[in-house]
Amino acid sequence: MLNPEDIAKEVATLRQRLAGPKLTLADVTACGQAANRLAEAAEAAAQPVERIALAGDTTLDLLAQAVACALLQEGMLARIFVAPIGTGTQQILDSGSDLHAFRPGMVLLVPDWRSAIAPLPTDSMAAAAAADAAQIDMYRSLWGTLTARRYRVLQQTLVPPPWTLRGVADRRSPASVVRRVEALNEALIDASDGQVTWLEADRMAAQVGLHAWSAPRFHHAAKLGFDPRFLVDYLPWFRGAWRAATGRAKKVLVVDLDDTLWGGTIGDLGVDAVALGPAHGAAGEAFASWQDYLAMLGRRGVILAVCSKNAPEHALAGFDHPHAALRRDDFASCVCSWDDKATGLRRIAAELSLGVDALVFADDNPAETALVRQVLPEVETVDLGVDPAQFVQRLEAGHWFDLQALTEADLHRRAAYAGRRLALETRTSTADLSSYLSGLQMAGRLDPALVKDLPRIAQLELKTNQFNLTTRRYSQAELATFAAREDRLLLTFSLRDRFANHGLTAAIVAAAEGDTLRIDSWVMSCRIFSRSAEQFIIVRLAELARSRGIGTLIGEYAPTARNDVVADLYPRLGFSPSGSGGLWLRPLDRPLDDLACWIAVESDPATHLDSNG
Amino acid sequence: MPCLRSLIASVMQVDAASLREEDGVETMAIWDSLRVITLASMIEFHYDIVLANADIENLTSVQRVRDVVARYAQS
Repeated sequence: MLNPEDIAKEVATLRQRLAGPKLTLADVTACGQAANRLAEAAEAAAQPVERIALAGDTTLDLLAQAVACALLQEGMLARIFVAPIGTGTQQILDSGSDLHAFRPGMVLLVPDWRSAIAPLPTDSMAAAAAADAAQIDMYRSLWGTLTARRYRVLQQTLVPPPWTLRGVADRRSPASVVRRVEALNEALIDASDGQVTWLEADRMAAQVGLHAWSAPRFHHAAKLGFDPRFLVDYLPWFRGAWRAATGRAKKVLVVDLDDTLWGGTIGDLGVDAVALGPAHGAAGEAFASWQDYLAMLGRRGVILAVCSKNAPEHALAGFDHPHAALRRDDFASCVCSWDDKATGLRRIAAELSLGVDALVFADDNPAETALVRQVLPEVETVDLGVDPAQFVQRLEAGHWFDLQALTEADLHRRAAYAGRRLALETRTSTADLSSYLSGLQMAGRLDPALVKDLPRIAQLELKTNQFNLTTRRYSQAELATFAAREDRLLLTFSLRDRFANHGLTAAIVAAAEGDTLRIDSWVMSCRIFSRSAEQFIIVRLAELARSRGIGTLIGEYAPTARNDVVADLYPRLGFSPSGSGGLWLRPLDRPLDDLACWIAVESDPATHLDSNG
Repeated sequence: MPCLRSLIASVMQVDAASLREEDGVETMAIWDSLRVITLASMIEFHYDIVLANADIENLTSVQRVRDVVARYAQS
């Protein structure tokens, strides 16, 4: 039997093989089988192991090996159950099935168009709509069954067949297989309403080529859904979906400057001579296009930062270039120094109050990314290479920033971080904390959640690791249930200051239990740490509790590896320990004037801070 | 391009030097249908050919794999 040290050594060997530059199908199958063996040994040694069930309409054994490899690349071992082909629905709906006996933490559904799209008379819209509605109902039933057991659900979109029958005519025929696959994918994504994390198999197939992907001979021979050579391509797509499902999506893209945002070394050439824009040929065009892409990423909520070995006065001048799509304000942090990149990345993480594992670092210099991989293995690195025309593809290949849904918070994050930076600059010039906090002129609200707040609250529940008192990770569906219950309060905290509207930045789930109100879940964005938001929330929560005749607030702290920043939160807020089990209580028969707060109550409901920031 | 013996060995997870021409589904328990599919895919990728279904089913021993690939090389 393998001991934990042996397991760790073998895992490290496999991860090294999977980190190789040219992975092959043989690598995936060999590592996948070895990973399964190691996962069994790890589980026998009481080590944490993911448990994932696969169910679908095709042979999934090779896909299971790819899933095991993808999770190894994420640093996890996984036991994997594969439902016999075509039995997924029965396995999920039968509470006594082998799938449920396996007790998965996550289920990956892999539908195939051959099963999902029944043949219909040409152009029968009504029949197509009825057939699709039946599929949606079936999947709703499956998702409901799985989420009721708190299994996370991943599902692949349908990949259309490679043939087109009558060309453009089929694109215009509502009942054609191609149109129906597209429509059913969109309808299922809409219907899933936050219950499912989607893996875009159709987009993956389109990227490698639908004919190559579909390879009918492999389906005829072994009921495989696609040519197994593309299992290597599958790994980053699965990793992106898995990270989204488990709250591990990356938050920050850190880029170098010279030969990354423009061609050449700005300190040598000066801002006018770097390659950026049409005057510098194809390379200049490519760098400009890359900057446009990064600007779009920033507008969609990816936090941008710079880590450059440069004198700051030279480096930042690049943002004044007439063809620069990116300006200084687009970056939440700019570290320009002669320190090594690992040191710079640590500074960026500290400035943004994030862990280094939230960072993706992209650089044209492979020596720099190699150093970061060695010193800061938690940071993901992207070797951009020398050709700026390939930068977008190389970054996107990792699926680091794939999201299931955009929220208002994502769309306003750039402005919120710009405001935060201005606020921090004010702090360095302010004599004391009290003056600094007063000077921010903060106003906030604690309100019952609206339906439109649910995606943002679910995002906070999933992604918040530090200020997360109990790490319950409630799903959007569960939060909607709480909002409808009389004995539950689902509350949102919104904040603005004179620099920015930070929007919905904290959420609370509280349970009314007799004479007590227990804070079951409390998450808060790291962006508003140390601003007395915690004090504001407790004071408002106490008012709400008193209005319901409740006499005691109860808080709960469940320690994890990431939330020690809130280990002393409840004592700081005047709570006393209540027995063992991480419970704290504060009676409400005494005033709360011990909780100093620099946030005024935003009194005008018309200025209720929407889910933004 | 890896030699055929190395390709087969990497799929069957054995040492290439230990593979005999007569080794295959009759002598190696690991030579199962999924590994045949994997082998077919890797042969197609490395030799830039597309195997017919009947030929995929014929990948039952080292010798037969060699025969199939040789036939495609000639055509």
